Amino acid sequence: MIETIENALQLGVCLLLALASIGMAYRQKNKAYGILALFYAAFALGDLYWLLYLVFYHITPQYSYISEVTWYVAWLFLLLLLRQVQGDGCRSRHPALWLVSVLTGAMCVFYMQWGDYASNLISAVFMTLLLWRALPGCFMKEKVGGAKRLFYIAVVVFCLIEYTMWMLSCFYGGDTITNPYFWFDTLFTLCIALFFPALGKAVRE
Amino acid sequence: MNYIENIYICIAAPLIVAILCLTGRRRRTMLFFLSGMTACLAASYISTFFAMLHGADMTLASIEIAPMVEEILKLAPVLFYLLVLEPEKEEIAGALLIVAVGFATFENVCYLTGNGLAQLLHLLIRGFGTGAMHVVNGMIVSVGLYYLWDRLYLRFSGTAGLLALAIAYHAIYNLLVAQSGAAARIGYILPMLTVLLALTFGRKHLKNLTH
Repeated sequence: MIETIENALQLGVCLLLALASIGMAYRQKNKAYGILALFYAAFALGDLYWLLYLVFYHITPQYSYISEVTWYVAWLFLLLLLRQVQGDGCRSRHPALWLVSVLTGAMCVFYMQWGDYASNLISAVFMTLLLWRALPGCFMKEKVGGAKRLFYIAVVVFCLIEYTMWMLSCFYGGDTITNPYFWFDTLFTLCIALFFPALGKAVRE
Repeated sequence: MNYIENIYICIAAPLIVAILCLTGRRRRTMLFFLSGMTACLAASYISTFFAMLHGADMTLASIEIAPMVEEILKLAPVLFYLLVLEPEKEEIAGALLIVAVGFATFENVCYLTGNGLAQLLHLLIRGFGTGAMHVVNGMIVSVGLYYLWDRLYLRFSGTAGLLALAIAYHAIYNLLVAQSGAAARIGYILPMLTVLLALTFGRKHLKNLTH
């Protein structure tokens, strides 16, 4: 029950923000908002499919690739959005960034004990790319404006919450409010919602 | 038993003759329509193959396997057109929509012959619902491509992303219409409503896309 409510909440937030982003893209003729709308739409469609399947059949999808692929695509649009916000400047190839690959690689191997290889590998690649692009923006104060920095921080927090949720899902089960997975899933919804104002400031800057 | 190859030949034969007789834009339109029908025929074979491979029943195949296979095959002729003939971006949307219409037409004809002709109202709702759904999916990909076409990195990743959105939309439609009662009715109405909304709010943009 709690999973259904949580999914419905996330779906509602994503749908509303997708419509708001379409409106902003139309009004401001800004491509970044268009990509953000696609990000929200991808999340909303993935959630809707998952939710309907859960409601009609009382189980999660058996070949869950439709929702999963849609969520991967949401990450892809977030990556494109990062690139759009970043423009041609602010690229860092700091050696410390390799630590991101080490971390995501190690986590991928760890999660493979539970999930299938392909989906873990795809998740690791997307998370590496997202963190690789967003992390430098969080630390380059002199090159990046405050508003853009906020957007980069939101993306890093998004990735960290994803990892926390995956970690929790390995050790905690059950469809009750006491499962910490659902606390972080709610936090995740909040983080997704924050992209909209964060992008607005970054675009104005 | 539903011999879809026979139905395909019946509809494709006059189209092939027309393709040979026509030139220019009209020929291209017919060719895309035929491509859509061919994609539908191929999708039915491939979906059946994957369903057998996974041991999925008909309902499970229609809500989990068919959307992905159908949308990928529907995009295939347009991708070929894009990559080989490199048309103007304005021409892509029209091509995608005609492929979608061809696909929906053939699917509706096969459904009609397989499920009886008695219930006119059901066929009417089903026909419009499925037709609208395929057109909406075509619109999702074409409108997105139109806006993402100007940069190389957006072009390829955007196409993959939009294809996934179309797959999800298709899967949600199939999931709803596989139920009975209100859920099925919502499923049939949803794409028609989306088309109406698109025509109401985005008529000008759609006209530009499909001129």
